[in-house]
Amino acid sequence: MNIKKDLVRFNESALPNSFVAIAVELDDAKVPCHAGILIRLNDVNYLHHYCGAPQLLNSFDPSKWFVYKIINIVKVDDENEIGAFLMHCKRVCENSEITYSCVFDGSAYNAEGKFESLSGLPELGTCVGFCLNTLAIYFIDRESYLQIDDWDESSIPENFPLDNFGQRQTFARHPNIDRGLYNAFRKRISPLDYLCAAFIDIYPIARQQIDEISQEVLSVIAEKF
Amino acid sequence: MANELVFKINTDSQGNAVHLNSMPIEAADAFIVFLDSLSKIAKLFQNEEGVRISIREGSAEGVLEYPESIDAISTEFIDVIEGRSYNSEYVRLLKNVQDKIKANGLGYEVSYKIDNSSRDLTTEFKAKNFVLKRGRRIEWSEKVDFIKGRLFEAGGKTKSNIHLDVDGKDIRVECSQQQAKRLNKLLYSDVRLCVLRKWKVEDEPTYSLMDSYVTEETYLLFKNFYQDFQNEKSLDRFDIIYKRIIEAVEKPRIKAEVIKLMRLFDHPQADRGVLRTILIALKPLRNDEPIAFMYSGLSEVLRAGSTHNII
Repeated sequence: MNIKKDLVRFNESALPNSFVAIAVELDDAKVPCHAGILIRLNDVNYLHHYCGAPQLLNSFDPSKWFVYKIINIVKVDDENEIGAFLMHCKRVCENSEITYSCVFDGSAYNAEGKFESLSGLPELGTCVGFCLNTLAIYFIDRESYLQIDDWDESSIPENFPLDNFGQRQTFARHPNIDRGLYNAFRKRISPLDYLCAAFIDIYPIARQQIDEISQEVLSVIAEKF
Repeated sequence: MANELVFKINTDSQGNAVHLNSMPIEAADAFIVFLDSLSKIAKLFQNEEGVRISIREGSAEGVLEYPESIDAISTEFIDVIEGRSYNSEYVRLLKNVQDKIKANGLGYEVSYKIDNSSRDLTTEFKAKNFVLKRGRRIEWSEKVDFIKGRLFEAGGKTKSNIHLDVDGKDIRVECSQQQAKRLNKLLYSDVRLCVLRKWKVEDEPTYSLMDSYVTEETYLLFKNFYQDFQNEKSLDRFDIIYKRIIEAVEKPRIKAEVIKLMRLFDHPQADRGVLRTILIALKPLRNDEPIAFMYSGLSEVLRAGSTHNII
């Protein structure tokens, strides 16, 4: 694991022409505040993310985006493999009806781009959850990416505005939702957790592994960017 | 006239002319990288005679000089510039130069002279990212073919194969013993096959069996599907594959059709995007026999061609 070497910034020189990367946007304090998947295909950049609506953009402002880590399961510079991933993201965006919520239950989007619920909850999630649920089906050699039970309600900061916002959105759109089930999977995997996980190769990734490197990741961001 | 590869520093970050007898530290650092790269490039071709490094005054100019007869230095160099080089060391050395040129504000100039024709490459060094063309150098070509012919022999003591008469030409197709035994039941009959044709330049091709079809209808179904698919060059081809898989999964005889679809892409140079799309479409069924066997096979093809042996 070489965080300093592998953590790169948008348009940093000497990068491959085609790759898929875990990407985050930084806030003014240089802390990751939003998550996405950056897909570069033949030097054209696409951003797959959920910010009010699922989007696959080929034009976006990179001024705060993106710090990213290239993922190694999709072969770098293989235009076919990266093109197929781009089409998967397109199908997800076409089909997704996600509602914002600090909920993560390990569900995934299938090959048709349709949401498949693991817990019985409707399609709920944050920007991180949307990206993780997009990636999930792409891991062939791994059963699951994160040890999701390591995150619980305590991972949500007190009076976290996005949690309150998510609950309002969810209960308005899904008035009959099982509240017990909702609370069972109420948790927040932060954009920093999401970025840190990309450096870890032991699966499923435990929260402790992420916590062990998160300060170093923040330090490298502060130093490099 | 010798061919030349020239790395030159014209000005420092203040815009002042750089001379060999008075160089700012930043220019000296860059010049060391240039000379180091030129020297190592020369060593890549150390069996060749007449390769020289020269340092020229006026500005700070490092030059690799080599006889016109040494084509490899020029062709490999152009391959790196055009992003199609498999020579990792050559790519690395030129990337070292490129990184320096991109990193600080000195005024640089890169050029080459090949066969008395000069070209300024400064823009290429600044704008492009030289990358290694990844993956194994493909030493053979392969193509999926659909053939029909009269089966006149099946067997083999050490290597099992079948022999077909295809329009008067004898074609030997390598296969497993089990496949040979099964097809032997069709001896002296017409058979319909999907085969992988492999060849090297100037060598006769070899054929290996990928699938066989009992009826003309099935043969044409898969042949036409594959050929239409190969003609589709846009990214939409991945949608075609996943839709076909999803349709097949919903049919009563799902397994036979899905497995036949998978067999079409069970070869080393198969499109990795197609392999991925098939694997994600069938992931929920990956442990169900008989799909599990082919699923594992296609996973292995994808994994074998991956950089980190993980998919």
